[in-house]
Amino acid sequence: MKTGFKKNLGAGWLYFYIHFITEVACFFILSRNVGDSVMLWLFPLIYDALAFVPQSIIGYISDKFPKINFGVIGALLLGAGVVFSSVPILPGKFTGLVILCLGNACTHISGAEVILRCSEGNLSHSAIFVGGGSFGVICGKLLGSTALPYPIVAAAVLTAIPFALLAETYRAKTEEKPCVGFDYHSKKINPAVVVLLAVTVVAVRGYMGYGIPTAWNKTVIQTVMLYVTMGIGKMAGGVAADIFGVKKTAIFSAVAALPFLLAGDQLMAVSLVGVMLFSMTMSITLALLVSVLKSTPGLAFGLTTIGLFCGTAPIFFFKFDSVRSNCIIITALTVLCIAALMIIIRKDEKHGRLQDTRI
Amino acid sequence: MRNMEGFRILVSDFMLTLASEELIILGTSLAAIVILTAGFVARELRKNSGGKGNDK
Repeated sequence: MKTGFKKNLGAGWLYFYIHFITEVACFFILSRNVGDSVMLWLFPLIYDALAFVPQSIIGYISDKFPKINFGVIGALLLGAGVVFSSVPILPGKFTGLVILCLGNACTHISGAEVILRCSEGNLSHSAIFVGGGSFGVICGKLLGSTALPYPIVAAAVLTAIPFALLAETYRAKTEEKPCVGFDYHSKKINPAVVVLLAVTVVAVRGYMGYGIPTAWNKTVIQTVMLYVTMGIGKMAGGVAADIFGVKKTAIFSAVAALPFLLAGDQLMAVSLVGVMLFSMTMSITLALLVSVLKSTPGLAFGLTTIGLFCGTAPIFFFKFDSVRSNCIIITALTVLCIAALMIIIRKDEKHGRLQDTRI
Repeated sequence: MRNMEGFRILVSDFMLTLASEELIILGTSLAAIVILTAGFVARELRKNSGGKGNDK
């Protein structure tokens, strides 16, 4: 077992909450707005584009100017975004949404900077951070369907500010050194190829996430179960990678998820096992990108979100309706992901942790 | 035939939406961000490999 992976884990839990409340605000606004038929797909598309893609640029700015506290800026922007979405005093029908998206991007980048710099190469921290999002998505969706007033959500978002300030103390300890301990990519492969393949895996996973056959998902409780399982899977992936090794976890979870996903169209329990295994690779692709971009973790995180957008964008225009063709696509894409991961991930050491000297 | 009709409606709807002002602005901005990101990544990779690209 890898030792010392619990160090600085507090930062992960602080950003678990910040990520949670960020998604609550965003999905509260989204579910309030998508009732209109014109907004049905345009609103989520603009949200995905503006919350995901600019994270690379914001991340690079954060890497170069570490004194800027993007966590606090993000929380303030999210609060403003919620307020301006409810009171349309600004020009343009999407202005409130744009502010909300920028707030979302800022809190994500702040989380990535703090977590990746203080985790010393462990994946549990980033897994806990990303896991918070799934719980926030379902919570925000549910709250959006209630009569909860907008100012309460705006106030709730502002509670993230003390958490962001507290998390900043973890980052201060690292003295802006490159992310030490992240050495998970194969040294035999050109770093540019590692970046390309890792982003491709993220994009493919993003597409697959929407294509998973879940005919069983009909009630609110079942949707809650789905998102909670996703969150647990993301968190478990990082912890498993720290304990058993990155390569073993990535390959095992990708291979084992496939039969459960394909057989679970009508069976909730089977499908949830597949969803959990499928979600486990999330922090691994991030760790791979940080391994080749050690001094710019914000940029590395932004690349994963660009990949995620590239994977989810086609869903707005094109989707397979037949379960059979969907299953064929999922199988083919899983094989592609496994092949890419096998090429770019370095061989695990016996105890899970990798040594710097090993190729 | 029904499928073809559905497909035609989908395509025309898509083209109309694509031509809308918001999506043109959005698409152009996203393309610019992606190109800029690719440049930053190339610069950082070159810097890490000990080549040119150091900003100091």
